[in-house]
Amino acid sequence: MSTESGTFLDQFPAEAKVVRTAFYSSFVALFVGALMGILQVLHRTDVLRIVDSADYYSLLTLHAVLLVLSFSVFFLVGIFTWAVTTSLDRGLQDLRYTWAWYGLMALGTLLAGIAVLGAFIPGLDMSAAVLYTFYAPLQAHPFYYLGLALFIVGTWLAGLDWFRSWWAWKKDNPDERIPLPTFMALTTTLFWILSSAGVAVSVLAFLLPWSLGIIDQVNALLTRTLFWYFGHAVVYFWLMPAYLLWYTMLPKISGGKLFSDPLARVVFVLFLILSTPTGIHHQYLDPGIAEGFKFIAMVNTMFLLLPSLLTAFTVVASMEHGARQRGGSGLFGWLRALPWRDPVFTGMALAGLMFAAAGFSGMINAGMNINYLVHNTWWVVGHFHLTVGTAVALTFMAATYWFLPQLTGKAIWSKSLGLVQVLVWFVGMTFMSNSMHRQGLIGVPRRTAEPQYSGFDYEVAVGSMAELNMQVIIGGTLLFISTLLFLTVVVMTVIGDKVDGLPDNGYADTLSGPEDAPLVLDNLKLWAGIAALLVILAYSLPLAAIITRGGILGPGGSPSPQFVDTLLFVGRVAADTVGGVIA
Amino acid sequence: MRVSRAGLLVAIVIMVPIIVELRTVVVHLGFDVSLAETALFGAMMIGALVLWAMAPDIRGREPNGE
Ligand code: HEM
Ligand SMILES: [Cu+2]
Repeated sequence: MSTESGTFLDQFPAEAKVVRTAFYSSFVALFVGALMGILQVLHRTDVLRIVDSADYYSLLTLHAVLLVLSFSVFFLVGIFTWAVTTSLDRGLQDLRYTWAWYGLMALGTLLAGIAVLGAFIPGLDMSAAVLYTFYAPLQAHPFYYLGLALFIVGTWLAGLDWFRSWWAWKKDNPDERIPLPTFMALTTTLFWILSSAGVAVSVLAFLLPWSLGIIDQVNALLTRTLFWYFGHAVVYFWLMPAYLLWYTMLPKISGGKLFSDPLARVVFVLFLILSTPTGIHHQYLDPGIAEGFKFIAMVNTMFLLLPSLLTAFTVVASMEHGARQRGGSGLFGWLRALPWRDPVFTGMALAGLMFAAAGFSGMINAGMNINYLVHNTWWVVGHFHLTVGTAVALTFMAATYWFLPQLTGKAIWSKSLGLVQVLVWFVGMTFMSNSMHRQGLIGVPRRTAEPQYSGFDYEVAVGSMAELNMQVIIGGTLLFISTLLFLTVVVMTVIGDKVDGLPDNGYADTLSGPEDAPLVLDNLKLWAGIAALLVILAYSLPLAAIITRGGILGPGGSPSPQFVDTLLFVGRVAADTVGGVIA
Repeated sequence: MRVSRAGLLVAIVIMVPIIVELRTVVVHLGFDVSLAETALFGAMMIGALVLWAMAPDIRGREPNGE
């Protein structure tokens, strides 16, 4: 906890500026992304088609890239920077370095955005309608791959920034436990670097050279597999900062304390070791990967339910503690004593509720056999608008109502409007996501500009296709309105005047503190080693098989057995080394 | 009031997914409910919730100030 009181801006003005800039960048991305979202809704349902259906995929690429990369990640680097600075109670080591990683991320977004939007400029031979998964043989302008690479490198440098803060702090405080928010930022950074290394290899070694014309072709399954090697861990990269807020802010705002610091540490350690060796669960339907590997990925995925259930328990217990501190009583009566008028609380609580619903559809996605039913349908889109599109996005929006005063020294322009905003999001997402799930079950495909086929009618189980579409239109419109309300509150707050008497910067105390947590939990080297080991176990054989069969650069290329042997050898040495370190 | 106004608003909002999902469940149980009937039923459920919330708390407890 901070020794000096006051807002974050009072304590760390220079860091506050970094966090503020990151947040504003994320809000710009949110605006453009949401605009694309409503356009997609209207296009697919054939209400309004302002672009040619062939260009729909450029809009969709922009929507996904801006929302799941720029909006989420700019916001979360802000949160982690705040969390590390606040909990270590020290500024960053070198702000020029900090601005450099921010600059890289901004430049990366810009390049990728230009590549996508280039498709709309007549005469310009530029496009990137490859969707955010950029599966080969879809090919984008080199700017797109370069932009993504710069963006990811920027996030690595950001992670290193938080590590540098911690290393410096550890020198001054050799015997202290890592403060919980810093612990969360560091464990997240570790699995993020481990997993995004895969997509970096895919982009830098294969897709970028291919798009530049340096190599003729790539092994499509290899680049896909490298994408999904990162593609599941990235969802936890978005989710961990939301968890950080649920663990460290929600209890405080409910009027209580975090139920258990040790449990929170266990959860983050589990995510560190399990996030990456699960990615193949996105490839259940890919030919060319043996069933056995898919089965291993499924088992790992099911294990990942554990930390999420632990989180549900700890967070609800902390909220109940807070409510009882505020005079709540009864089996369920305590719910009434929670601060529902506060959009920070209500937004996060509703986001958590939707995340629980997403957990159920997620289990269906994760099961190898039932996945076949929903794969590549709109069900999946319904699912992740509950996870990243709400559990994360709504938590971030709600948190903004707490952070903005901390970062600007200004009071939120209208908290009531903020409350309305989070409620409208919840209702909008209920309509949109429910209908997407139901459409998916009857086979409506995702990523399709015109999912209407002549001479074919979907067999709707309940209601009619028109009703389902109407539900998506209403939901999407409410979501867009909610986004506009959010941005209105942000802009009006930012252009307002500074005020005194804002709450102090800080985060929740704990009922059971770090002194109850076994020391081994703080041994980041150990957990990083185990994470790397699990990755090697889960991925070395599938990757070797893919390369042996398809060739490192795809069919007709050299099968490159020498390379595979080297890979396996290096893998075995690495595994032995890690094993040796642990033993 | 048994709950605060904000609390009531949140409760109403949480009813929305329940009503939407209820229709699917009921139809699968073999009762064909139309959109209009669902809307009517939903309005009744929310009405009941509002009535419950507006009624004076018999145990005489004040909801928390928020
Ligand atoms: C204004 C609110 C939003 C609306 C109206 C909206 C609407 C849509 C629609 C209709 C699609 C499906 C397009 C298709 O399958 O053809 C879609 C896809 C997607 N949305 Fe959203 N969305 C919104 C917010 C968000 C948010 C907040 C996120 C994440 C933070 C998000 C992430 C995505 C992703 C990753 C895809 C998948 C793109 C792909 O398949 O390549 N959306 N969105
Ligand atoms: Cu996944």
